Order: sequence, then C-alpha cells, then structure tokens
Amino acid sequence: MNAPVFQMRNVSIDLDSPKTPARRIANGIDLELHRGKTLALVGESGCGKSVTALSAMNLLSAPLRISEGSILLETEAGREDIARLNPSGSQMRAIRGRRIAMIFQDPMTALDPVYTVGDQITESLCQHLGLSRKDAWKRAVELLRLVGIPAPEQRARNYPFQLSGGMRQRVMIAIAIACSPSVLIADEPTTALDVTVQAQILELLRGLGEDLGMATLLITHDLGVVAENADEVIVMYRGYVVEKAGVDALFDNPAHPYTQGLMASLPPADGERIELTPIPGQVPAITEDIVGCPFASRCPHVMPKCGETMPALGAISSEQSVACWLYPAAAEARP
Amino acid sequence: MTDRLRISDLKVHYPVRKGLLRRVVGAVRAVDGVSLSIPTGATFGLVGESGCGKSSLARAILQLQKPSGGRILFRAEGQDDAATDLTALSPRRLRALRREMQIVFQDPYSALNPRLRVKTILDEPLRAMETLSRAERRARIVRSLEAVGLTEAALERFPHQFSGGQRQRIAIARALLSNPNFIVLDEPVSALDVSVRAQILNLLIQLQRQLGLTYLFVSHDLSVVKYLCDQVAIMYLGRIVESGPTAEIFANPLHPYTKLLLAAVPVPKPRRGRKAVKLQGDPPSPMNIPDGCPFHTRCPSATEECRKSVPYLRELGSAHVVACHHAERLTAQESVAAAGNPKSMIPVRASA
Repeated sequence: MNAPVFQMRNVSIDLDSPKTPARRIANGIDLELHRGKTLALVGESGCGKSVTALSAMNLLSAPLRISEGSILLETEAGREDIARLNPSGSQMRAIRGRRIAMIFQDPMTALDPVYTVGDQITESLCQHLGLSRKDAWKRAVELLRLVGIPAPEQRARNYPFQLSGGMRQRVMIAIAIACSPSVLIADEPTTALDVTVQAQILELLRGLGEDLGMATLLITHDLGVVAENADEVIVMYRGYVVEKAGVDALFDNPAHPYTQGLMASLPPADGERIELTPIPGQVPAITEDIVGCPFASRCPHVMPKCGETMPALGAISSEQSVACWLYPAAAEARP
Repeated sequence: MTDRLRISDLKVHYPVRKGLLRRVVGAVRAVDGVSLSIPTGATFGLVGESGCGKSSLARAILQLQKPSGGRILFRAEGQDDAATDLTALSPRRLRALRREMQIVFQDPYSALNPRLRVKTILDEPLRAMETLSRAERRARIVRSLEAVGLTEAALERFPHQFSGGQRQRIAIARALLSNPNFIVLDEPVSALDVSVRAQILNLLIQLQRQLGLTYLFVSHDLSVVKYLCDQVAIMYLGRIVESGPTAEIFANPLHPYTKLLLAAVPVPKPRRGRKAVKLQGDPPSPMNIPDGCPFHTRCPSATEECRKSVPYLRELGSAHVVACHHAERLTAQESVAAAGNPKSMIPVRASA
C-alpha cells in the first residue's frame, strides 16, 4: 500500500487536574489514513474516540493535551508533525480546513445561526485559497450542488434554521471539503439523523472520499455503519486501541473479547428471539485507576496476568492485530 | 375482548399561532386518524422517522397530551368486557386508572430529578397513587429495584452516581411501582451504548414474561423493533402506512416507504453489497402535509392517483394492512424482476 497521508504515532492524551495527577484519556494511539480509504474508529461512550478525533485536528484545549507522540500530516512543505504546532497559532490555522477538515455530529450547533450557509462556506475559501468574495460565492454554490442540495443558488442565501437536519449536515460537508483537504475527520456524522437520511449522507461521504481521493476517519458507535462504510476498523475501549483489523476480518473473526461482546450484544439480523448476550457490568469510570487491561473487570476470559499489565497490540494475521493476553504470541511481540 | 388497548381514529393536532393576537393560522397534524389495537401481553412496535408523530401518539394514549379527536379504549385489570374510553373520563377516574399504565422515557438523564435521592424519586409516585404505610412503601420500592437488577444500596444515592444503563433501570423500576399492566416505552434504549442496550432489552423481555405486561414500544431503531416486537406499525406524517405481525412486515413489506426504510438500515455484515440509496430528500413538514398520499412526494412509484386521493389502510394477507393504492401491483412487479435476474438486486462490492 502507498504511503499514508496521515499518521498518528503513539499518541497519548492527558487530562490535567489541579488536585490530582493528570489522567490518561488515550494511550499510545497508532493509526494511519490512506487516500480514498475510510478508517472507522468504534467504541462506546467514554472510550476516547472523540478526543482522538479532536487531537487529530490539534483542537484539544486545556485541561486536555497531547502528552506524547506525533501526528504526521502530508503538507506542501513535506511531512509535518502537527502535534508540535501551537493549536491556535497561524501555522495550525493554515492547515486546519485546508489540509485536514472535520465534520461534527450535530450540524445545528456546529453552524453559526446568524450567517447564511453561503457565507459560512465562503469564509474558508477566502481565508485559505485567497478567492475574491464573488468567486468564493460561485464556488460555494457549486459545492452545495456537489453535496446534493437542490436549488443551490437559493439555498446559499438561507440560514441554518431554514434547512432540515440532513441538509444542514450536507452544508457541513460542503464546508469541510471546500478547500479539497486530503484528510477528513467525521465525528459521528449521522448520529443525529434518521436512517433514510443517514443512508444518503453516508453514500455522499463515500462517493466524495473516492472521487476526491480523501482519506476519511469515520468515528461511530454503530457497527452497521462500520460494516457498510469502512475499509479498516479500530476498536477502542477506555482509552486503548484493543483491536485493529480489515472490516471483513473484524466481522468474520472478532478477536478481542470486547469486540466479541459488542457483536453478541446486537439483535440477530434474522429477528430471531434468542436471548442477547450483553457484556456484563459497565465501563469503569474515568476517575478509576486501572492497572492492567481495562476490560478485565468485564471479560469472560480474564486471567491473573490481565490485572497486572496491559498487553501490546500484536498481529495475529496480516490484517488483524489485537491487544489481549489470549493471544500470547501477539501480546508479547512488542513493536 | 382480548386487546389491552384499542384506538380508533385518534387525532392530535397542535394549533399554530401567529401575529400579535396569536391567532390560530393552521395546525400541525401530528397524529391524523390513527387506529390500532394491542393484544394483552404483546409488544407492539411503533416505528417512524423524527416528526412522524410517534411520540405524540404515545403521549396521547396516556392522556399526557389531550387528543383532538378519536377514542382510546383501555381494558383495566378485572374488567372483562367493559373497556374504558380514556378520552371521556373524569380527571378523578383517570387518575385512578393511571396506576395501570406507565411510561419509560428515552433519556434517563433528564427523566430523573438530579436533586433527589433514588428513594425519594421512587417514593413520590407511590405516595401519589396508593395509600400505604412508610414500611409498605419501602418494601414495594425495594421489590421494584430488585426486579430491575439493582439493590437496596441504590436508595441513598443520587442519579448522577449511576451510569446511563443503571438510570434507565431506575426509570423502569419507577414505572413498575404501581403494578401497571401496560407500559409505553418511548425510545427506551436509544440513548444507551450497544452492550448496555442488550442488558436493558433482556430485562424488558424478562419483566414482560414475569408480570404479563403489555408494551407499546416506540422506536426508530428497526433492528431492535424486529427483535422485540410481536406486531409493528410504521408511521409516516401522522398516519400509519403499514401494520402487521413483525415477521411478516420485515419479510414481506408492502408499502414503498416501509421497503425503503428497511433498505436504509445499516446491517453489521460487510460484503453484503453496498446498496444504492433509493429514498431521497426529507419528509415534508407535518404543518404542510401533501394532498393525496402523504408519501407521494418521495415515492419512486407515485402516480396521478396518489397525488389526488388518500389511500386508506386495507388488509392484504392475514392481519397485514397497508395504505397504498398500488401495493399489489408494485410487489408483483418486484417479484418478477427478482425472479428474472436475481443477481441484479444485490450489487457486489469491489474487494479492496
């Protein structure tokens, strides 16, 4: 495979607190994004997937910070480690929106209610590409057409409240792809939408990714969305990547007990009324100190070793790695 | 009558006011002539997209929202033949009947008062509904908590000390306090994570078996509805467009909207083929429902007839009703197309 356009290497994120020592929210995250491909980041609430997304944009602010690792992005000047840049500095601002863009979950709060959607799209075009107001407006209308908004000339003059939820998310996508970024981060882009609209938006994102050669990081909690849209998947639990696999391998042969638990929690597709097998217990609170594997307290295969050290992510096949002591050869193979 | 609940021609219209004098200029027809019946002990699923009126319908059934028209016949425990029309009851008699029907809301974070301890949250409804001594109330509360898998230790704690799943258990425990026989579940698992969602679904099934409960399960999540419900009704813009036994609806949907809705659900199985999205656009505003069939503006098979006349629910197959002028013709065409070229229906995904 060709070189990744975006890479997070051993990134850890800390939450500073005035009274207690800093808490680690994400531990040694490694991920790579390739042109035209979609990597899905899956996990339940509080697993660290959203902070990972924000750190990819270098958007963390106190008390959160990137404490370790590097985030490499392909730019004109070569590979740049954006984790080293000041999050609000001019260098980072020139990259954000130009090379790497983000779509948020809730388009109603992400869009500014007092500007027309056309104005909000032209903003980044004028800023990054130096277009005149008039040219930028023309381009904004084209972008609205590209994301499938009917009558884009009129719609560009609308305010966000005049648009439906699906249309607003299309506007968010238009803003994100305005400067043809090479990396697109989509944080739960369809969670606030109805299924029929969700299907439209995901199809749009998939098409744009392939046509424009963007690398997409898709953050979601919905395994159905993952199966239908991702090429590769990363499963996170309590700040750790516990499994990383090609989408087919993950669904055919989920290796980590947590991934297996997630799959067993889904109602069967044929609607058969067998009892579901939920994962017992709940995710340990962020304030709890954990030694060893964070899933140990809920794991059906727990061993003494699990309470001592967290295994490293090790390959069990050419396209699947897992961080679990059940796979001793993989777990001990430190990178 | 073996039905716990029978609704006929129920309407919920909200007035739209405008101007200085707040004159009524129109109405949002949130529920527009819905009829359905729920057999005792069954789980009835109500499915639809946001704004289709499913929550308005659920609230109207419990008289949390006054219906604009129609009847709601509810058979209380011990009444063999006589069902009570909830819309015609005096406030006092309605209050007495309320202990028989309860509701669990979507968001367990806003459904529980953050300032009250769990024991107070659970004690309030009991004091309102029953005349019991303090000790009797406490015993009832503990029994209810144990039924949902919590212990007495929960009593002294506040809602914020529980996770989302545990909070939903507390909300269910509260609904069970008055020994109801009918519970409205309004998106009870939508705010929960997958692994916790499965715990709550198992709990709901187990409680239904133990206590003989009848559920109205309101949801937009079709995979959960398919798993949990015996019967299902699909709503679109305030009307039921299709209804019947769950297995039948999912295996053999007749309304074009149902077909497109089912096709849009992402399935956790890769390589199943990336499907083309057929349903475009958003539902029209319920303030401005189109003439004729409410779905004709988005329907790929709409004809002149659909634009002019409203299709009413008619029975096709056993207990399977559908509101579409062309249901038989469209389904026949599809089965011919599928038989002629089976592979064309399943686009194969290019391997990476």
